[in-house]
Amino acid sequence: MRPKLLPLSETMHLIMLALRKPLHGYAIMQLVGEMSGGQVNIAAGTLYGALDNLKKHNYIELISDPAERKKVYQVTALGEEILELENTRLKKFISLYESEDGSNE
Amino acid sequence: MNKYKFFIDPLKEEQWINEMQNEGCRLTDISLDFIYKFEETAEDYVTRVDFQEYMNESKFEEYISIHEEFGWEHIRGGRFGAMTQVWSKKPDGNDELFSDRESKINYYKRYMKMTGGLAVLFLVYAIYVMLFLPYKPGMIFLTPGLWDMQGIDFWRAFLFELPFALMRVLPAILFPVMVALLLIAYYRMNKAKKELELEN
Repeated sequence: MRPKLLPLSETMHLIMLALRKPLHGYAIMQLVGEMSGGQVNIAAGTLYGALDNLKKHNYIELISDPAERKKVYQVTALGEEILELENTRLKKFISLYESEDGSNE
Repeated sequence: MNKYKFFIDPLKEEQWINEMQNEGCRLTDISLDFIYKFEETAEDYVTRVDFQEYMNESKFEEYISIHEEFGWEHIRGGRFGAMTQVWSKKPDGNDELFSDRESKINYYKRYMKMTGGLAVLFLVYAIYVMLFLPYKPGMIFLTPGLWDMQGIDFWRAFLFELPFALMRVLPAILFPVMVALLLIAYYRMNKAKKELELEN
């Protein structure tokens, strides 16, 4: 069976890609905006919900000190594996797009 | 300036606050869930309402922190999922709490779960109190032999128990009203949710 949340939604996918390096909330939104060429503009509530969900599944973790006001997140080792799975899945998709008869080769 | 209002429907709450704010004031605080405090201002403010279920302390901190990073000011809301979360900011083009349909639908679902659950709870209790409503005074006042007492003894026992007696009757009136209000809020949320789901 596929791991939970897969395939990742566009928002979650971009957040996880952004969090390959440690970032706080607003910076995630900015980087996701950049990565999507301004297409995905994440609002605060949506970001909180996505981070909470990803954290629940252990794909990302809170790495800042609890005393810090700004909360910093990063993908976990499990999160890296999930991204690897998504990478493979999407590469397969691309090969499907590029093959003429729709076969997998 | 204080306004006294009580909302069970967060869509109405949000709409009303923003209408007030369009008339040259801003919401600064909500006390006891029904005292809305406004102050005059020349600046624009936009308010959005969210609902969250119980959050532990660290989750609540994250919730507040992330919203504040985006420029939202927390006006009302605790971490126990009892009331709505009210957020205000100066409009800057990013004036929504939710940027995709799914997360907005999730907000509606969280709120419907709460109102639905409460409605069932209140309904069970309303049915209970209506079926077993102590119609006879002897079933409202439980002090043994109260109605046989005389003079000062009677009045003392009667007045002592009166507040408790009233509390025994009040639920029979209050609970059905609460059920109705909760169901109306639930219905409106469900409608808004369906409209969102039908988009696209």
